[in-house]
Amino acid sequence: MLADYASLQPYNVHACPTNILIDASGKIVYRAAGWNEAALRVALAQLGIK
Amino acid sequence: MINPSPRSFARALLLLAVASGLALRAQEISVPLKLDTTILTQEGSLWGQLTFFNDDIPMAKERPAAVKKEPVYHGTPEYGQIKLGNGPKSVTLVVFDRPNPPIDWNLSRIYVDVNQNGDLTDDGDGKWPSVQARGAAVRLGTLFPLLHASWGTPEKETASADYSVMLVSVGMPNKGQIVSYRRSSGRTGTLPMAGREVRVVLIENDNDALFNKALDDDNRLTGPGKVERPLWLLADLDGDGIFGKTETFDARKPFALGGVIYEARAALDGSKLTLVPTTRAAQRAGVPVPRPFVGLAPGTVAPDFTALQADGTPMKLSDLRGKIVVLDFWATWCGPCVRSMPTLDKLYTKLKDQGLTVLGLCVSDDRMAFDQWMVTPKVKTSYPKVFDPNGVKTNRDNAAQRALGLGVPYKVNGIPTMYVLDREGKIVDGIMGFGGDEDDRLAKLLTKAGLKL
Repeated sequence: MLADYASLQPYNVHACPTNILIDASGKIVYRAAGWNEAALRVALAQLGIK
Repeated sequence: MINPSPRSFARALLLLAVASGLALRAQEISVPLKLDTTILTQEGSLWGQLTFFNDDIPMAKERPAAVKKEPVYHGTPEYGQIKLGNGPKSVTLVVFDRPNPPIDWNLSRIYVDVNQNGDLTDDGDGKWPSVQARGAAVRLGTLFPLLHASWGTPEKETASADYSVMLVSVGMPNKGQIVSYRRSSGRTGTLPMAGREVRVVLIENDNDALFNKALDDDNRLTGPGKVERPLWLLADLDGDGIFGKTETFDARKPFALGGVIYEARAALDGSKLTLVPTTRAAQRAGVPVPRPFVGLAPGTVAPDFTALQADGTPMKLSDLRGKIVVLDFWATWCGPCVRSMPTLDKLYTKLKDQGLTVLGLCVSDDRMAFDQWMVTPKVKTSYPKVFDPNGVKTNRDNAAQRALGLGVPYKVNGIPTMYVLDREGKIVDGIMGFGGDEDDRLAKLLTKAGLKL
């Protein structure tokens, strides 16, 4: 019934939106639940992404 | 004379073994932990493996009295500090040399008073190792200074260490160019367990070098720190050299190791970790740390609103006065909201005779998607659902319209958000997110509201 959301399971997504940053080597380097643009920008900046 | 039969003798032995085994397993374990200042740096084994929480360093134009000698600045100095530990020498000065217009970020410097003598000219040249500037997106990084961490009381230092942190400066949309830092040290040791040595790592995320952190069963802090920031305890239980998801715990809450539930008691400076057996419930390994609820405070009168029912007729929240209400903010596109519905519906069915009602308020969504849901829902529920007419999908760039949404007066910063309202329409409390079948936060709130589960 809820197969649409199967991809959420391995990432432990508990709320929307959840932002997960995965670096070039495939590691999760940032995750946050809720609308928090500022925190996401810091995390992106640290990966060298503008 | 009665000789014990071999069988009963064996049983007695077994009992003894079990009893002593239990006694052995229920013992306290205490291990020293060593500081590893490179573990979370780019060379470290855990670089990129853990989530982190950066802290902005508040900067002021005014020169603090502790500054004794300064370099020649290219631009305008801004003064800030980093505090590590709680002792008398826990504060290190940081000075950000912000270029004057026309801005050339290559001229920016960062002076860190590593030796804490107030002289900012004897700790290095202040150059950022890398300067990346493209328009407003500026990144100055990345520095890993070893700073003096001081523990004890404000008057007396009982322990100290050089604690590495990561310093970076990034351009932020509303705040401009900020300087931010986070810890890059961790504590490591080996835990004797079932005849084996288990490698453990303890890492704080408050960037304060304090390790004596704990949460009670209601996820309230009993010491320093921030609720949403875990105190990571990594334990390489299978000895494969990697800390997997099931080997990651928040040391602030009880956890199960080798079949025993422990509470962690870490020394203030993290130099010692003691595991104390407990009867409290263990967390599941790898589970995200509790998120603090940042919505409206308990006791607040729930803001009234008008929303649209499936047939388009308006209804007001205040029409439900006299009932205990679960106000559920959801959207058709939100997976965790949808997954929470069966649990919510079960509670509704069970408790509606006691005066509970549930109102599913569809926010940040399209009218068509809502209408479609009401005809062919992904999850069938029996409680009423209504639509926020000002709702607009959050991925659409329409800030003015978004500000009118019904989530705004309720401080909804993620969905599902559920508020429990009492019979007078006042907020009992709220929760954000859905943690699966074992998530009993809503049930606890309903009990708090006076319902019998």
